[in-house]
Amino acid sequence: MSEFQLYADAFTEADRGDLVGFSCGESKSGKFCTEWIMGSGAFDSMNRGSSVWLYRIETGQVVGYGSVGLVNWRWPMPDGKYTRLLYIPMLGIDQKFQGQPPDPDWRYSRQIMQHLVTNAIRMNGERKKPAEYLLLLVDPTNEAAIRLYQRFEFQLIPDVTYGAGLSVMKHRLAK
Amino acid sequence: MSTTETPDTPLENTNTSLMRMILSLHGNQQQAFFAALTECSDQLRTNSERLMAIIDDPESLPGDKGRAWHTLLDQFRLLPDTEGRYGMDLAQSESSAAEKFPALQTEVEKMDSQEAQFADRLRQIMKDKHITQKQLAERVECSQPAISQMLNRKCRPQRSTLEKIAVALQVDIRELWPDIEVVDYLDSVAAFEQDGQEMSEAMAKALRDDSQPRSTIEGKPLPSWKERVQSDE
Repeated sequence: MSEFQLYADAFTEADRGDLVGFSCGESKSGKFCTEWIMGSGAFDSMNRGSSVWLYRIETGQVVGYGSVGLVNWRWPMPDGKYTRLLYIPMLGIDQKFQGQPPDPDWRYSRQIMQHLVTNAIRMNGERKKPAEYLLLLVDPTNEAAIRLYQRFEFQLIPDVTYGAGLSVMKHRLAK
Repeated sequence: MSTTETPDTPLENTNTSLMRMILSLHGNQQQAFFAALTECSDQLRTNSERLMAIIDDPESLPGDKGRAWHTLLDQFRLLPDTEGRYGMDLAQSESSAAEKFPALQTEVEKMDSQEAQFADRLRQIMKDKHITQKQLAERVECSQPAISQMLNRKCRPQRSTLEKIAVALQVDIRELWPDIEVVDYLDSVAAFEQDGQEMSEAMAKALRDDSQPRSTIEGKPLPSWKERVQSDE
């Protein structure tokens, strides 16, 4: 197995100690990615039913984290019916591991995305009424993140922003 | 980190005085030793004096002298790490120290979280302005337990709550949370996760559009690190 192989485990309170020194960087996106996992954001999301994973390398060092959740939204009125959507609340990579390793086949960001999409597909397959889309929010100024998501077949939804000017990307799930 | 020569370890089973031990250090380490002793905190100095007293005590066993000397050098970072480096990498030091001492771990972890820094700032401002949790709760129209939870880092305040707290305490909101954009982003993510919200027409149009090809991604889950460690044990 490659030394760059990532390992994934469900994030628990006991893992907090492993996050000492974890930082996704000083950019705007980096700061909120760090704060989500270091503060109460991840556990708030888990309380709403999301799954959060920590990704480690063989030595146990934390490379990053990722999450997948399910939300019930309503179509606009007058329809107003509920529809289920899968989404990736947040993912982050410690700045030491961003862009690493040089071999794109083992790039940590891609291993994490692969794992998240695979899990979203698995979760969807377990549902009687599967969701049609997997969504995520992205800082529209974070071009590297957008490119990464596009590589995993996410499309930017035009003319839609959410909350603090975040763009929404969608990935149409396999049947 | 600097890389210099390893200091000689003083011989055990001899009544080596503290001065002889210090003289056994190489020139750079001697200077570093005295500089550290002069500039260290009161607590560290008290510790150092206790260790030096053990070394100078004729009643001390040689092994105890050796251990005291080793501890003295270690606390001043004059011993090489496992990779032969001297000095201190703060992040690494915090991390390894935190692994050994859970109480310190909590403190180190707190330093990394803006949420925790907010709690500390809020507590300090309330103290400076002599405002109780109950009084602040009344001013921002929330419950006292909600304020308590923020102070104990059990919940993250939303931007609207931060604004109310800033007004109530007559401080700029950035005094409470300097990276206020981070709060905005976190609020956005939390709002996205709320069930029952009605999506916008533009979002509905995008989600009803079935022109996007379905996913072709196939993969397998990543292995578990925890299971691997357990099986190795």
